[in-house]
Amino acid sequence: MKIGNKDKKIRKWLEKIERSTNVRGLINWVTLATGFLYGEFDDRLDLRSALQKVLKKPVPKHINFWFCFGGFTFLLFVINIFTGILLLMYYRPTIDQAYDSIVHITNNVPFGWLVRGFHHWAANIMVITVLIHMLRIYFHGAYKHPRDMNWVVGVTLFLLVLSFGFTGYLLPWNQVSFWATTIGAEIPGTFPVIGPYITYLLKGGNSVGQLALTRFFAFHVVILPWITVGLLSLHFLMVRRLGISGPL
Amino acid sequence: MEEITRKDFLHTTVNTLIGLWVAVVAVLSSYSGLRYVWPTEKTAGPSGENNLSFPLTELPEGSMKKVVIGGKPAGIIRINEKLYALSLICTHLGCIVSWHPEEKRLICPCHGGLYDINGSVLGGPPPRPLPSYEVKQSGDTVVVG
Repeated sequence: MKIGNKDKKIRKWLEKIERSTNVRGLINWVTLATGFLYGEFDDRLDLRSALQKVLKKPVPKHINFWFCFGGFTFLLFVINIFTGILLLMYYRPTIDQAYDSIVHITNNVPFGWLVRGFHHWAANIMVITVLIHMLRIYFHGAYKHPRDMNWVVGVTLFLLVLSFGFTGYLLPWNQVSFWATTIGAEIPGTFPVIGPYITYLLKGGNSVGQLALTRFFAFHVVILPWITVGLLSLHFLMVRRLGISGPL
Repeated sequence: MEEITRKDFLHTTVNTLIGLWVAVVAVLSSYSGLRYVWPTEKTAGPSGENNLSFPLTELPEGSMKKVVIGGKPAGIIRINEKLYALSLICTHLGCIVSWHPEEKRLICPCHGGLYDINGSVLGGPPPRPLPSYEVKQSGDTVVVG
């Protein structure tokens, strides 16, 4: 199509209106997310070029489905943070009320079943995706120098995911969680000399009780998440710095 | 008007679809999230008084009155001018036990758990006795808790 005289006139007219009413500024304020980033903030901080540099970085040609599992794991981690915060609104970490509060979340709170279901399934699937991610790295030899440090961080993160699972399993305080924790705490008991002390420490006494529940709760919702967030940042920074490993 | 290329068209279409999808997800999840955190009578948790009282005339000799203590069903039984307050949740699988005045026993209709007037297990599958509550008579009223 050619630009006719009429179109030119209309365009000039529109530009005039836009300038006089600051339409673009208004739109920026209305569309909050992009508006702030690309409007008021960008005006001061030049975010556009910074973001473009981060988001428009090309990925190598050999990337396929198996390279996605680290990202899947991160997505599930984010889901677990959000649903975990929501569960904290109703969960009560005492041996009298823990189970009742979880029944309450599942049966009475609107969408409580959904929030708890997401937390449960995301946690379970996370272990699978993190394992696949690890196997992918292993079989591609992506753990070798210079990425060996990131492999160590990754294995630590894997252990953290398992610790999340172990501590979170006790929190509903039902028969299965009680005995799973008892068994889990007794496994290091076979270790020579210091074994029984580790078991005693994990159980918080001679049997799993309120002390164990309080401590597992603290680890599950405060201590482990912050360690994980710190190590994850390191993990991602190193991926960015070193790039994705080459094709097979 | 500039010519729209196939690439631009696909770009815009895909971006619009992604944008719509994100908007729908954002609306739905903020709706359910708000419903989830919004305090209502239902979400406030198991309510109910731990203490209650009622006139003695509501409880004839040999009968049981069903009440709610701390949000859970309980029964006040008057027998031989003595008062007993027991939880009515069977300790086996949580059915509600019923009072049988002629045998002076509480029997669970689900699996035949038998309890005596103090809540002790006389027979059947229950692993523990029924929990009891404090109850006393003050003047013409029955005071529980």
